[in-house]
Amino acid sequence: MTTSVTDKYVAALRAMLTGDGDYDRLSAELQARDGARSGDVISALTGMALSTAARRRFPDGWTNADVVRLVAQVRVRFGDVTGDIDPRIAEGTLRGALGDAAAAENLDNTAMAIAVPALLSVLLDQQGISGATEIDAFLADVRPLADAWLARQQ
Amino acid sequence: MPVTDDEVAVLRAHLAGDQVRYRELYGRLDRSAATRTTYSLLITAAFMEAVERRFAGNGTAADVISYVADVRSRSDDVAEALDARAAERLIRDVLTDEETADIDGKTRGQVYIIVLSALVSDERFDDAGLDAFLATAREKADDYLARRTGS
Repeated sequence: MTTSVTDKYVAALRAMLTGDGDYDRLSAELQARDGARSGDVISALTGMALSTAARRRFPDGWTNADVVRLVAQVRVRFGDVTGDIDPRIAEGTLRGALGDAAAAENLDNTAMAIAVPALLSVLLDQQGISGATEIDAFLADVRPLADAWLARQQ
Repeated sequence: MPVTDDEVAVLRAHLAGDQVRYRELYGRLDRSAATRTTYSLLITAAFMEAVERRFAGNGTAADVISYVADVRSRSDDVAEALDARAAERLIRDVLTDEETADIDGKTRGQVYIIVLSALVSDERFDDAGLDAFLATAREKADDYLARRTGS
């Protein structure tokens, strides 16, 4: 059985990005319906969203210094005084999204789950993707990339 | 035992970026336990003085996060060596008495020397300015040592 990106998965990611929906409820419903495969689809969607947003943010290439500074901007934006967004995890995640696969190896999944929505929020905001129309257009770009990624995994 | 001229000279060479002289002086430094303690205290006092100069009165948590990121963005080696969260906490400890007892000695030492070097570099001291800065740090370290020994 294959699981592809459906409207409900896109709605879940949209809820994560906007914070105006119930991401936890939607993802729980998807997990109940699709089982472990739901995690693959959500990972594919969020991964492609992060990769797309990150590559658009640094269209002419990037340096480690760019990544360090951007993660600091994310932590400032979220008032992360206690370091809940682990800088090294967030930097590794972002470098991975930008194509440095080795940087994203062996990162703690729980810490990544905290870092990814925060990274996405700031990356999209910096590109002016904040309104419903812009987010829907962004998600329309991401969805086929996630579908293609999932197809390659099957 | 107060801070010695030799210890100040070692730290001065390091902060002035004269690594050849630093290695030469450090190699000649008395390595007794007492000296290691006073030299560490001199570095700690210099770190505190540099942090106060940079952030006192206007150092928000966001400023500290941004500054540590700025330091870590200066080279890949520094980004790797400097623990961002530990650095932020140790800077805030100077400004607001944050609890940092759980930070181990090795991490603490790396933070002190890397951030101190960056702060001093940013100050762009001339020779007299660097001497004055180190004199203040030395005074702080000696005060602490005197209080600790009850003398």
